[in-house]
Amino acid sequence: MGSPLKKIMLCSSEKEIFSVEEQVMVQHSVIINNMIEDGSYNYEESKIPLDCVDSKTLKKVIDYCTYHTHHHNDNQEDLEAWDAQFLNVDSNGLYDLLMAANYLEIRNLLDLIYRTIKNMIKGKKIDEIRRILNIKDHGFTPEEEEQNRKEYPHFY
Amino acid sequence: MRAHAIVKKVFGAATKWSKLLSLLLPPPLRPPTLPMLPAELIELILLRLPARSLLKFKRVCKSWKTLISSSDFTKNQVQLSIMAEPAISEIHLVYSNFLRHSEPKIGFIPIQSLLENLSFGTEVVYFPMDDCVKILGSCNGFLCLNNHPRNTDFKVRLLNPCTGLASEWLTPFASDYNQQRPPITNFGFGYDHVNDKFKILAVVKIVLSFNFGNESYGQIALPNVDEGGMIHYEPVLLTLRNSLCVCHGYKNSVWDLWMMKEYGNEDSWTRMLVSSHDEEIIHHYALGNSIRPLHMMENDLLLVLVRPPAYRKYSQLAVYNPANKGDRLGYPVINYYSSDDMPKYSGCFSVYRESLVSPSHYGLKTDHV
Repeated sequence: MGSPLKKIMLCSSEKEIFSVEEQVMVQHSVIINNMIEDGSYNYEESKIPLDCVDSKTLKKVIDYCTYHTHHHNDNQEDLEAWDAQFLNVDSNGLYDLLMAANYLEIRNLLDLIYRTIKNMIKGKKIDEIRRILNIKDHGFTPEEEEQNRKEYPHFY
Repeated sequence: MRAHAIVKKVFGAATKWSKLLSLLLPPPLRPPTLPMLPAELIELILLRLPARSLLKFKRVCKSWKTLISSSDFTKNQVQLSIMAEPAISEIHLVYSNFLRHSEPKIGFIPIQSLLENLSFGTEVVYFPMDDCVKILGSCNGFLCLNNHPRNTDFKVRLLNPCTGLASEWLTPFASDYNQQRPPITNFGFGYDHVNDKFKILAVVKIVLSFNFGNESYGQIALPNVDEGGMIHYEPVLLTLRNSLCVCHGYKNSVWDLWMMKEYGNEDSWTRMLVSSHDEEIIHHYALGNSIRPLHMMENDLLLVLVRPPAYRKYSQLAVYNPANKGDRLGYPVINYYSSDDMPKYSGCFSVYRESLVSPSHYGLKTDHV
């Protein structure tokens, strides 16, 4: 666990530098926690390069980690309301957040996004799920697809 | 409030105006289309869905079908939906109607609505069967079925009612079973996560276990019960929180519950609860088999099914608090006659959660029922 005052530098794909409380990132990101623990981060010179995370997404990720570090004692309802507001983004924004959380291994943010996407498809018809998840090629032969549609018309 | 809700509220649902206004308003929010997700992330999302949804999602695309059918995925889904995040899979009370002369079938009742409505009502979902069976137990989406009435051999099979797949019939305990007088009537069914095997257990002074898959046997000593000579009936075997448990009824109107915290380690038997029967439960029937712990809820309360005395028409559900001297909390009464063919004997009921595991994932010959 890092000291609360120490800062670390994160560098987005646009080479923009973000200075964050170390504790905030260490608590949430498995990757950054490992870097600090094994001493591969040099406080004087290092910037952690995040080539696949753009500035807009990185800022959101830092917002998430900062809020959850300082509000982890809040009641569950308030946190869920904040999370819902936080994820009120367009589909590309949600995708970018997912990829960033996956790259940085931020487990609670990943969980939140998985749950959100799960709720987008739960109870939906198959055609609608294909649209939401952008599945253009379902891979079934025309005969298999027709057979499925005939057998389970209420699924489509 | 959403615009549609306001329109409904102001104009009433059925007016022409609301229909007209609906046409003018934007359609309700549809989830947007996401960029294509990598397969490994899709898997982590699908793992969080209940078995019933996944059955449908097999038809979304071929790669999902392969994934959802795979042994690893279904086992991981059980881990997550039953053990780690139980909210994913709804729990059901399950029973078979082998005592009655109606069509053989298995009934499912959601426990949540049972506790809220305090009656079985009409929400029983049936799974039709060709033959009469007795349910020996349920675990990770499987029901362990026993042929009934028993003509010759004692046979068991695993059934996943969600997928309709069942294993072939197996004959465990052949020699022990035939030699026992009186015959063994008390079985438990559970999952041994250390060895990834399903087991059927029988009490024959000790606990005998039979492994599905490699058909091997094992033995486990029962907990050392102080009131040695006072046990009224043979112990009831069950699984709670994925652990082997034993419930005893004593002659002095007390019953207790033991849990084997670490499967196979006889030193890990722990007494979880001791409770006295109150007057409502004491009756001329024996106390041992009349109590059947069903399920340990997330808040650590214990849901128990009580076998009613012969004169009473209703089965009873009770909730006990192990932390507080085993006090009984709720005492809903299940009106089992509201459903025509519900058995009265509490041993006929088990707790079931859906999953997609197949007996074939455990090396058993499998077919559709």
